[in-house]
Amino acid sequence: MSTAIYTARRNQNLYRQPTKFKLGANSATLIIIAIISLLALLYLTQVTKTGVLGYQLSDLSTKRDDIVTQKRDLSVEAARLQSIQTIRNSQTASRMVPVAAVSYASTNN
Amino acid sequence: MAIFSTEGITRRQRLRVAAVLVFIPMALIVARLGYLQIFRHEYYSLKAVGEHTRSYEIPATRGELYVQDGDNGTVPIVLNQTLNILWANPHFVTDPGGTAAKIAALIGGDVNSYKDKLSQSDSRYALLAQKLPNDLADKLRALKLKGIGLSQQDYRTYPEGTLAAQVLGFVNADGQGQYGVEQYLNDSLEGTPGQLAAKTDTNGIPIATADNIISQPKDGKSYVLTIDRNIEAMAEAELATQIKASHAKSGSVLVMDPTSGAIRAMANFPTYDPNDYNKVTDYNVFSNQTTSSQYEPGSIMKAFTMAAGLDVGKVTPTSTYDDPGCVMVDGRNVCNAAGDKAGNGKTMTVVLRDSLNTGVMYVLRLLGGDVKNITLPGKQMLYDYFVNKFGFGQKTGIEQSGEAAGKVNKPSTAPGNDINYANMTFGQGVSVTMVQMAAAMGAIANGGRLYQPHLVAAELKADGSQQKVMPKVVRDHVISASAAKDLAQMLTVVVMHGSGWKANIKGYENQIAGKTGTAQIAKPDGTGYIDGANIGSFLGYATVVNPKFVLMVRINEPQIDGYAETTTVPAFRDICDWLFKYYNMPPTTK
Repeated sequence: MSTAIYTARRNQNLYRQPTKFKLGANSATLIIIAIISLLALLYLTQVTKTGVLGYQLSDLSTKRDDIVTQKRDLSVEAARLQSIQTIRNSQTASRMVPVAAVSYASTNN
Repeated sequence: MAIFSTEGITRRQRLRVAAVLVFIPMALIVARLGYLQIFRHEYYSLKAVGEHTRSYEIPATRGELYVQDGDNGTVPIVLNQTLNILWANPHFVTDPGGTAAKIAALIGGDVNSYKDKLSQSDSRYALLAQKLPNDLADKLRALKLKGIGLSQQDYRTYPEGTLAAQVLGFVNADGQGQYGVEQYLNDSLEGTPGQLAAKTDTNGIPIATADNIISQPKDGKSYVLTIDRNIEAMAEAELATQIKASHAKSGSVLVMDPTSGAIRAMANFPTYDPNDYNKVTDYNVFSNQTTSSQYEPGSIMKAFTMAAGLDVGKVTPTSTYDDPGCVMVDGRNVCNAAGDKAGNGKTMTVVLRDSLNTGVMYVLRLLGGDVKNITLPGKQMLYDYFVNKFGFGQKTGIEQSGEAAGKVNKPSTAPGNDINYANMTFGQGVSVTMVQMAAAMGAIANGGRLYQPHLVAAELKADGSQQKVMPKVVRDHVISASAAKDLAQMLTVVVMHGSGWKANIKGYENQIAGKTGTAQIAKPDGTGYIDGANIGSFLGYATVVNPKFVLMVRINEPQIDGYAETTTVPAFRDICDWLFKYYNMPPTTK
């Protein structure tokens, strides 16, 4: 290392002074506004998500109700198809004759 | 000269004045804000909540009803269905004629009727049709008719139509059960609605947030009834045939299991379709006559008078008496039915076979220990058997709304009480219901145990399992087993050789027990009986060795000649014959 460099370094203050970071009033204001805006945005996204979930739940609930309604309709239709009146009026029944004499087989135990 | 001079006022003074002028309003504003937000906090909070929160009632699903299907388990007889109401806001209908035509083309109905409703532009609501199925509703929506809307609503559906209509009842427009099981079990069937308090958006759609308050609806209970739909259908068909044959006004049939009190059929004629209950004009058709109609049963009651005599040992089937033909009681002549002549040495079996009024009056006198006179102890004993043992004069508690209790006058020494009790021995001057008679005959059939007639077999759980309802014994030892056996034999003689001879079925000789009854109908004002009008009944059971069913047929005001043996016994026979086959009960004799 050259003498000139040694000379320069000798007169240097080896302890670094803490940097005095100074934020101006306007900068601070802008930063605060930015932080608040960010938080507000975060809050809005969460609330919107909750709201969207509500709509999805409502859709699912409507679908469920539709399926329950379909099931009910099918149950009613099945009951009507197997009702006494339907059976009596069916083609199968029209080809049947009333029971006359019944013969019982006896078993010897 | 200036009106207002500022000379001599310093800058500081001006600032002070300005400060006061600003401070006072601000202080007022702060005070007002403090008042609103602190002292009136609760009021405005609630108001705010009310603005963006809505309460919804979540309707509970009404319970369903099922019936037996022989050995094939159960089938539904009452269900719920979501159908559609077609309505219009005539104010927004731009083309009433065209709209009416399109609607009529799709769902039917009178075009002009629709047009009239749609033309009333001052009206904001017009009901066009109800109970539209969902497929039709979808087609209507696709038409996108202006001013036309559709709303869904739950309806009660009875897929078997008129089957067991009076037993079931119906549900009215307010969702309340009317008549039958629907009314009796309404509280259990309707369930409990839930509550939803939710924050909503501007369209009223709830927003899922943590503070939505939900109480879930509690659906109504579903039940399995003891009714067997095959027996019910057959009973209704036979009843209709018999009523037509005898040109009668109305009638009923009841089938009951004597070993449990389970009701297998309760048929009534005329009947109605619960799906169209609002089209009925005669409300009498809603009532289940087997439980709600009390009447004087006539000679059927002789079976129970005789039961009392047998049970206390005053008579046996072969005990005899001298039949005078007529007996004077309280100054009035009480005679056997027209054509029956006096005669000596008639047995108690003959009393029932030939339905002799004098014979059962003889039993009443014996109950009191005086062979010549009706006494207070005798009447007390008969009353005890009728009311405290057989259950007449009180409701059975069957699951039917509007059950009648009937009436049995109390014994006393008052004038006219003797003649009343004399009449009671053969079923006049006493009123009963068919279900009471069936329960009492069931006690005779099973050897002395009185069961409570019931319609609910089980409660259906959400998982499809059934919680069975056990039969309830009202009282044991109504009569002794030996008295029941003796009476059973006497009642088979009625069928084999007496007025019930038409009920005899080949192969089941001496296995069908029963008694006919042809009763006069009391005038509504209580001044006597209607001339020429009667109620025919036949009450019996089979088989004697293995009683499987109690069967009662009642025909009101038949217009053909003859007593109950002509008007009711043929129907009893046909139903009995069918039941033997249905229950696979082979003949007992070859």
